[in-house]
Amino acid sequence: MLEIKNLHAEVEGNKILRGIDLTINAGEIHAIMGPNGSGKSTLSYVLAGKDDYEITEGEILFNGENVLEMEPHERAAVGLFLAMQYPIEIPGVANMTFLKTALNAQRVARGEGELKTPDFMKKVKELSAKLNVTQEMLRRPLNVGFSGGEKKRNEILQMALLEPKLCILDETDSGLDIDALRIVSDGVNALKSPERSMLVITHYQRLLNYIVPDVVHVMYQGKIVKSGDKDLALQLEEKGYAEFTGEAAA
Amino acid sequence: MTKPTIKTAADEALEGLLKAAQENLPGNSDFSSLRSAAVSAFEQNGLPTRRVEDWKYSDLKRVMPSDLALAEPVDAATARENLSGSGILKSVDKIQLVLVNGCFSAELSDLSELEDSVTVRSVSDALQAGDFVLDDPEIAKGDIALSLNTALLQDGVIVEIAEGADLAKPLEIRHVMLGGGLATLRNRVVIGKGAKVGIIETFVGDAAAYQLNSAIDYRIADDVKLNVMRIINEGDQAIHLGSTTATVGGNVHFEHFTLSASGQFVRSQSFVAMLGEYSDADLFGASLVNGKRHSDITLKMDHAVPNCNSKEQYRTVLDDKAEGVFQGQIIVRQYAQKTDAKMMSQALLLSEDASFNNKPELEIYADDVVCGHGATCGDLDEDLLFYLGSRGIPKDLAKKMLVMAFLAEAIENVSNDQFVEALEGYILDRLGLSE
Ligand SMILES: Nc1ncnc2c1ncn2[C@@H]1O[C@H](COP(=O)(O)OP(=O)(O)OP(=O)(O)O)[C@@H](O)[C@H]1O
Ligand SMILES: [Mg+2]
Repeated sequence: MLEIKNLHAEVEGNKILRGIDLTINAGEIHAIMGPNGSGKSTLSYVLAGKDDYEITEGEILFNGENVLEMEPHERAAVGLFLAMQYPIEIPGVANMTFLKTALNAQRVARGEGELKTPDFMKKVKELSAKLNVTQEMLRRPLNVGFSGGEKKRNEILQMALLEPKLCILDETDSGLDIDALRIVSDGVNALKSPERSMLVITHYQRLLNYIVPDVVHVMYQGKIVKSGDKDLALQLEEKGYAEFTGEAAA
Repeated sequence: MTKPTIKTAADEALEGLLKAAQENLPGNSDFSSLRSAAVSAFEQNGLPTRRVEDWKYSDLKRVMPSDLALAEPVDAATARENLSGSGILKSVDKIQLVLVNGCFSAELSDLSELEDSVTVRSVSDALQAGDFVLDDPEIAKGDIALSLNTALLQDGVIVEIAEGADLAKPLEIRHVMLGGGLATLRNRVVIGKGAKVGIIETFVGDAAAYQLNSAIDYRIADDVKLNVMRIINEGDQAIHLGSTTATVGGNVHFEHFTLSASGQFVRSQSFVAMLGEYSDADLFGASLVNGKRHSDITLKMDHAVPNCNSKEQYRTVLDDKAEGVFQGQIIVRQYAQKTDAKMMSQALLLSEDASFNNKPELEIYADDVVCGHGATCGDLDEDLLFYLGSRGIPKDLAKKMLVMAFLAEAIENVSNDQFVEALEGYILDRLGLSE
């Protein structure tokens, strides 16, 4: 589904990604862990198409298509979704209007036609109830004044509604209380399917008890320095990143 | 002015017209001497140069045509044909008072629908009868647009609303310009103590080149609740000089919203004097300026007494080669303690060729006050566009959503939901976002 080959990216001359290779097959769940500043969010933004980054080398294929040539909305329409570490507040755009516009824009781009308002409402109601997103939050401007946890739940609501093929979750667990973590994880797990892949960026092994990964990667200084099964996360929890940071410093 | 100004073709044309028009204009000798004084002042100074602070960013010398003529009268039947139902507030139920090419038309107005508490007569009648007295607030004195208005004043409508009236429907003063030329009018709305009133001022016109100098005076007694919607929806070649003067009594709630939607050159200026204690004035506005249009919102708010609040919030969206201006001045006089005055002007530039001059000013002579002003001018936030894009919303649509959102925040201040809905509907339509 996703093939990242030798990806290099920089911002204003600072090299941030320095040769990422990563393949995620359909139905797989991959986790990326790594110290602060190692480039995890940068990778997620580059995948989603944020244009602050200059790609100096490498390629990204999504179901065989060259993602780097697509605009963010085109990437979304082919099934890429990024639940952001810091969801953005948009004053003046009602959450509900936003959800409907996004869903219909994607449907139209895929030639599926717009969803009728009653069908849309029904779907949103159902999903928001599961994710504990209140009607009030749907009426309010997008993310404005939402608490950290509310923003994260709202990201997962968008994901559930848009039904992407690849879900990238950037620290969706940060800032969630214990109950919210369970709600969000259930929401994510409900989306698991043999056709859908996930890339979960996290600092905490705890999340991976709920969303169990097939592969865990360690990212450091813009590279994937180690990959393993879910036990790798447990080892990291215990020993930290000294092994990698030490090596790199040497 | 000490130095004689160099007269441009536009100055000469206007001067010629001012002189020629004098003998046919209505008014007794008192008013005639006001007119003559205004004409002499114009002969001396001409149109303001860019050195005149208040007109620095809106260059009348450049925009006024050199082939000026007075707008011709239009008969009611012709006007009616051109008054077709479309309009930004068309969904709002209202009683219309219509002026065509500056002249009040009883025939086109819904006079029979007026409530008993409302009386209407024309300014030309009042001028003939010698009882139209100019009593501009201090801060409006010396303004060139008002001075030209006096010099050429043809007509207008005087609306008097009785004490304690509670109008069921808003009154719309609809200004229609047809066939080109210059028209000059002045309306007056006198509101008795404790009345609750909604006024809509609408400005529309055809595609001909016309110049409208329009003024309106609000004389607001104590305890009044007044809601004004000013909709500037002029024709593509229109020059609109619109002035509002307001004197505000005590314990008043005055809400004033301006939509600057179209017209080649729009100057919408307001002079508000807070003269009674414990009053609130909320002045809001949204401007959409595109093409090579010019839109100027100028405000002078005078706090002359203690314990009043005023809030100004204006938002402007500029595209193409449009020019926008916001000049806001709040004066808090020495005696006006406990004034709470806030002013904010925000502009969104959608094109590199668009420009905006943002000039908020505070002049405070009292010491126990809360005053603040802010001004921002920027382009669309790339992070917001990316967020919307990452959810599948194409850039063009995302931009429109953000423009709508930006203006919606100004419109939401309007307390009447029907107006809010109509304004939002108009902007959605204009952006091509309506369902
Ligand atoms: N726009 C930018 N301009 C300059 N530096 C940037 C920019 N974006 C990212 N960086 C730098 O790139 C590095 C990687 O940042 P990134 O946000 O990808 O790290 P991260 O692995 O997600 O960290 P965290 O775990 O703290 O979220 C950091 O050193 C950061 O300061
Ligand atoms: Mg990060």
